[in-house]
Amino acid sequence: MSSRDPTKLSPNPPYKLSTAGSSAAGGHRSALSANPTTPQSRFSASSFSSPGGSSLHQVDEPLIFELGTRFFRAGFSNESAPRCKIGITPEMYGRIGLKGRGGTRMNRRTGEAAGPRIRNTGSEEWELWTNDLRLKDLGVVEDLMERVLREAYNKHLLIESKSKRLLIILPPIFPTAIQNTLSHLLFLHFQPPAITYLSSPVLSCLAAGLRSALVVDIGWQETTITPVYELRPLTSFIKFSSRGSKSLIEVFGQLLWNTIKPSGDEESWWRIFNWAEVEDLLSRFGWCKGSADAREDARQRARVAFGLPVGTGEPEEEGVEGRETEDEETDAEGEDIRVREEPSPADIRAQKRRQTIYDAKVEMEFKTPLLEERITKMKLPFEAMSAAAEYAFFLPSWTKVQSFKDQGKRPEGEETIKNYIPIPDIDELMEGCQGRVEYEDESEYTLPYLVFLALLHCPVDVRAACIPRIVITGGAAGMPGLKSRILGDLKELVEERGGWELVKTRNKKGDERRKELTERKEKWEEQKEKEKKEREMLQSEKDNLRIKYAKFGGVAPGTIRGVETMGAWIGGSILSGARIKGTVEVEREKFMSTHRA
Amino acid sequence: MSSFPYIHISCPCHEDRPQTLTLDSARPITPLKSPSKHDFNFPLTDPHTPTKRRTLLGGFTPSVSFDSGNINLDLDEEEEELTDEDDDNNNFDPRDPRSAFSLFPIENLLYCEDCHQIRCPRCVQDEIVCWYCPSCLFEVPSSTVKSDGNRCTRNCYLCPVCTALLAVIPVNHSSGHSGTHSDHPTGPFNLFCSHCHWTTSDLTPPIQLEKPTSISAQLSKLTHSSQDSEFIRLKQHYAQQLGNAQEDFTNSPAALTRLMGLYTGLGSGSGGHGGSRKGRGVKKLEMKEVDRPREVGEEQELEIIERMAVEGLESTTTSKQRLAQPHEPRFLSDLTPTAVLLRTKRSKRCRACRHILVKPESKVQTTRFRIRLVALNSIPSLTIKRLDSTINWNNLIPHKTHRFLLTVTNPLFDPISVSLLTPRRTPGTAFASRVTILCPEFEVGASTDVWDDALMSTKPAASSTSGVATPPVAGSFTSFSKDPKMSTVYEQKRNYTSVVIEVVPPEIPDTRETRIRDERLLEIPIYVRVEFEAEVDRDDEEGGGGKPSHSGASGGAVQRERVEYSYWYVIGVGRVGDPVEGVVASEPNTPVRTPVGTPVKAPRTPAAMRTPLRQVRS
Repeated sequence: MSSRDPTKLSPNPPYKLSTAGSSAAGGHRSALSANPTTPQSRFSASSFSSPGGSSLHQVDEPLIFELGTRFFRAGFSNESAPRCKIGITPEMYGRIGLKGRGGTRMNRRTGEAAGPRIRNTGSEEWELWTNDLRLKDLGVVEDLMERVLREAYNKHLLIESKSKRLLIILPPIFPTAIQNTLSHLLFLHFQPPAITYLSSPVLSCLAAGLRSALVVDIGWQETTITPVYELRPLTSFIKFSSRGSKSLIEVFGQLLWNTIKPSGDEESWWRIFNWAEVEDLLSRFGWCKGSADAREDARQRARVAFGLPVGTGEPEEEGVEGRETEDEETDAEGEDIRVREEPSPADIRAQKRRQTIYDAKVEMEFKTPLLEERITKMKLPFEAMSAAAEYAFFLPSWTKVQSFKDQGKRPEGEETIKNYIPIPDIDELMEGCQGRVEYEDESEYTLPYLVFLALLHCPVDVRAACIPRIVITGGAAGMPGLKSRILGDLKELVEERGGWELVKTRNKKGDERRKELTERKEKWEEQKEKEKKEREMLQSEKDNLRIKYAKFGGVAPGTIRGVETMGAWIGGSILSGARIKGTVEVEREKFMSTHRA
Repeated sequence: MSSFPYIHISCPCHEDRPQTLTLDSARPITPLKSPSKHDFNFPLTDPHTPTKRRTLLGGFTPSVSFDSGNINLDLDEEEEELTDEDDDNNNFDPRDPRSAFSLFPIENLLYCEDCHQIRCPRCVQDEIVCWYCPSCLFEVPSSTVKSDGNRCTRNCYLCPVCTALLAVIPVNHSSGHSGTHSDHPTGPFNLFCSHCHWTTSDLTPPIQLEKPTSISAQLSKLTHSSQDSEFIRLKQHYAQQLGNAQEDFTNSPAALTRLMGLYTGLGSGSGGHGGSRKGRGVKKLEMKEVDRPREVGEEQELEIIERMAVEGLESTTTSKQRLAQPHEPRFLSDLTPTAVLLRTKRSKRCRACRHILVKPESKVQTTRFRIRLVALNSIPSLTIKRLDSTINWNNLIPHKTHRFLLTVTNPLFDPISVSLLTPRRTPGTAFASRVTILCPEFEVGASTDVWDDALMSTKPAASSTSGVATPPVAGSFTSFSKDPKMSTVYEQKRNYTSVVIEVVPPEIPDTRETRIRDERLLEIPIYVRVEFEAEVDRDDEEGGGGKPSHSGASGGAVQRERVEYSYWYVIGVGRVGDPVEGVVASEPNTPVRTPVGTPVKAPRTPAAMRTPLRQVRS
């Protein structure tokens, strides 16, 4: 019966992780073509929807828990939102009946710092576990999990834990030790009859209404990019990056501290600011620039690096070189050039929107008990709120974090290039590489590039299915602009690479950029004109294709498209609501009998 | 900051838990042993004391010996090193991150009389007695709890901004005069927060109710989020898919032909993505993806950004507000009133023996309990007081001898004999304080009627049985030898006994830069062992353990048996302050105490040194 699962759920085996897993899709496909008797397993679903199914367990619906590093969600199946979402806070690590931290950790007011640990940014109290288990006492993780679960049961679910099965959604790669601890903890303290573990990318895919997708989960500690094919996660093609919500907050905190830091102060930002305040501000007001804007910014930075004028900086002096037409519009971009040619209402609207966004200012205040002023107030341009995302996801990881300081205001052109992001080296620009050799690591790649790589390394059929179904989810995905930015950059990247060849062709576009900077303008414009025409032709061809496919209600193959998902928890809710049982269920009796002694 | 002093008790459940080390995580986890094994009903000589794991009594030297009193001090130092090492293995370390989860104030603990063990919130199993709304105290029947979303479906709503209770008021409330109270208010109503003045009319489509009653029903019609509709769409889609499949395989007469078609159809094609194979008969059998999935739209995201820029920071929700709402809205104007979360009355059972420890009355309005076995009634409680009122809890002076009065109160009806053991140096830190309990073994009287106390003359303290606590070599004290009672109990009353505990904190540098933990916090773990002769009048089989069981009704022949239990208490004494001029570290071979004559410039003079200790009444 379980093999007849219509949705092809393959939950993680409960005790071991299929890290070096076989490609489920590959096996699946070959099975299909080779042996005509197997397809039954694919489509038969008969018994599931019949009410009062064969198993007794199907009658009661399970509870759904989603275990994240930062948040824990719990709720009932068939509901559109979890009943509770519990965030881990440092208070949870503390003693009951004692304010403060009872010696295990210092109160921030009196200012005890974190010790010399690897990558310690004071964040470890805001998370349930770290992937680096060397530094974490698993006993503490267990204790904390118990506390969180108890809160969920007693405060939000209001249900006796013994009565309900559990469906636990885990990240695709989850430390076995913690999973073991979790099972043990649950069976011992809460005694559910059975637990089913499911992998979150599959459910995210399900909650988007898809059967195959590339699930980009921007989680707390790391981003995982999982190709899902026919509702099976291809575990061997997963890509990881340490760029996640945590690094986002770290960067933002660092930026803020750099802004008010007196020179020579080596204090760490998380001791100055309250981590919660920084996170809160970022979750409220962080945003991400669009692809075109960011590209233009990068171009301007490159111009500065080469000593060329930026915007209205010094317009007269470098008139020969300068593109005076553009100079009136600071941060002008390709689309805006077109605006002048044929301004359409939509473009005007977009222009206006840009104006409001770039004119807006944010006032904020932080409690800074360690500084002289107990409350630090800051007034920053709204644009500054987008810098953290740039560092965290789109800049090379060796980029030094700058500050929000307004340094060297020029009298005339007030709108010079914002120095939130450092000017790159010329050498770096000339190399134009995605990663430095000494930093060669997937975490060092920018996020769009990693998505590109993930797609590139997939089997071609999977890639075909995944390219128009990119699902971006996870905590940071809620940041406005981030999803379209990743997709936009990805599109650009593919265009630049000229397709999905493993072997990189010569960087044509990069060459042009360099040409633009080094050669004379007229020549460049001619070329650009030519290219534009080509692109238009291509576009019209593509449009034809698109129209063709639109008739079928689908998308043309090769079109990069992002699909919104409702999140893994909702996927679990839908799944269990449809009375679909997981193939592997850990039963209490069995677990306790095998794990005793 | 926490207010000093405080006393926490470590629930022994944490000792039993497997010490899961990350390094050998592959090793299977040993489950808990049933705590009922740790019954205390065994003779004292039984080597299997409940604390066997810690081998406490073996490797542990109680710090009775006065450091200063020893003549051969070099030897003492050596010994100390040794015991310190031992201590590290056996001692309870209140600074261990895990102990934060096992330490509780005594008020939070229950006591299982069958297991003779304290039970912390983790060692009990909750059973729900009833559900009720904490705001209107209306009991909700269990059948509707889940469907109501665990929330009150009457008129109790909370402000989504400040979580205060919302009031229902007519929209034209302010214009109408206050005299119209008695009249039936008419017109549309809205929910109003009297704390932050938020109303439902503030929402972008303002919510206004027609009736002042049955708000839930009205609200559910008015508030409808896009997520809900999307969820329903997806659910319908999958239901349809499953339904189709079902029809095809079971009910439809054409099932066979369909099955045949399935094979032929499959031979040709791949996974059937997108719409490329739409319209064929085979297609119907496959699970399709949803029709037009929601695409990521740059335009929508830009709109959000623009709205943020225009409306400013104040219009966005804080993370707390967001978490309280099911769909995590970004803007304040998207918040909806949240119904009050129900609460439960729960009875609690001991997880080991399934006996009920707490059982509340099922009526919501009463706060009485039918059964309530709290630890406060069963295990002695400790309190600590300053002997010298000039001691500042938050600023203990390094190298100065601080004397505190440790009082053990006996809640039992039998006299108990108590032994207090503490590591000589506080464990778990590089800056250990010296701790000395002057009289570690003593008796505490039974908690008899207050009148008994008045009628009986108090026992002289000197008659306490502890022979161990006799003072060591006379003359070893320079300044305190004149007070022979120091090494005995300080005060003994009806059901409590006080002893003196001396603490010498070291000079602790400012470790803010280097250490995670608060090194200046001074917490003393004390192992309290209690023995008493209890009247066994229970007639249960298991409780007796290996004892010869007896069929004793409470009126029958009472048998007395020796009961012993022991727990780690942690006393949060205070925080060590900066070193004070004049109070210096004593030389290794002089007593640790501050000499009486030392001129001390600091305002906090060690007055305790001068005020003679109160004599025990005799």
